[in-house]
Amino acid sequence: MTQAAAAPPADAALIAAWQEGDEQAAAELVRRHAKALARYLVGAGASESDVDDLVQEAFVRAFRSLGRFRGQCRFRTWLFTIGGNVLKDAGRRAARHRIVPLDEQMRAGADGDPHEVAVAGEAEARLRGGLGRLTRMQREVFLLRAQQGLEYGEIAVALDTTEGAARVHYHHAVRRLKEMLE
Amino acid sequence: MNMAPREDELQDGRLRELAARLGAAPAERLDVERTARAVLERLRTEPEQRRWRWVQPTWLRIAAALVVLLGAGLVARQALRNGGSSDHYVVEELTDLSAEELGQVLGSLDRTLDVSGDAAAEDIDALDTEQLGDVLRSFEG
Repeated sequence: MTQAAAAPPADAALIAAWQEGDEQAAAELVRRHAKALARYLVGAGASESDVDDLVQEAFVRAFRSLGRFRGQCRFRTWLFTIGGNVLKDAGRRAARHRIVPLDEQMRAGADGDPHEVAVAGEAEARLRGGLGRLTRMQREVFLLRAQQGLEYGEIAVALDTTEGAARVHYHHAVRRLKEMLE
Repeated sequence: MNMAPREDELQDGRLRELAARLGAAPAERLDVERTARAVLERLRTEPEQRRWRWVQPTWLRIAAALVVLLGAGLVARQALRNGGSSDHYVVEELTDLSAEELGQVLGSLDRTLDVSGDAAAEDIDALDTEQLGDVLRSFEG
């Protein structure tokens, strides 16, 4: 968290450089945040085969709308909200919700004891299934909090809600996920 | 950052652990250099295309609305010109007529179609109500 807290000035400098035409600054922002964005998108329901395209699209939209980014939250958090919109648009186009098959999840984490990998893969698959049944707000609050470790205040700013509402969404998300996973 | 775990954080530790792992493997496999190059390439080449994609559905909607309006206008105009489906109403009215009234109608048709003649009038007088109705319907085509 300390490292992430130190990130905004560097991101801000890269953003400024990109806005002045420095393409390498944009490339550095992609290198810095692409993996975190990919994890967030997979958690939010993206299939593994679509992640690359969705990450690209989110960055393209973000760079094109940087004029609207006022530093109200970290660039990465703002990027996640754009990623959420990209995923929603992609879902509309596909008109279906895809879940990565269990065997793919298991192949993905193929290091370590096969039994542990299988158990972990199953749990993750169930969590993904549960996340897919939450409301979008609950899912995004949960991921930003539990997966990305953000504070409620920043989540509230990113999702255009209040800190109290973000806490309530998180609480409901956890309760529902526990019910679904038990 | 407040490092003291809150009650909710203690309760959902397992969920947080799972969530933290979620998507880790696909993210690790993501080629960030390739992604960066692709993003820059799209930023260089796609701005105009994006605007077109945004505008295009708007024009399509406008065009579709115009087609619907024109179609509705044509249908309405056609209906007004025809004065409604007169054939339908004529048949309904004919069924209410008596034999004598049907004979008068046929007589007037003879005059209109210039098919006058005593033989025709005699034949018509010999028809019953049902036959007269059939003759009239045959005139309607």
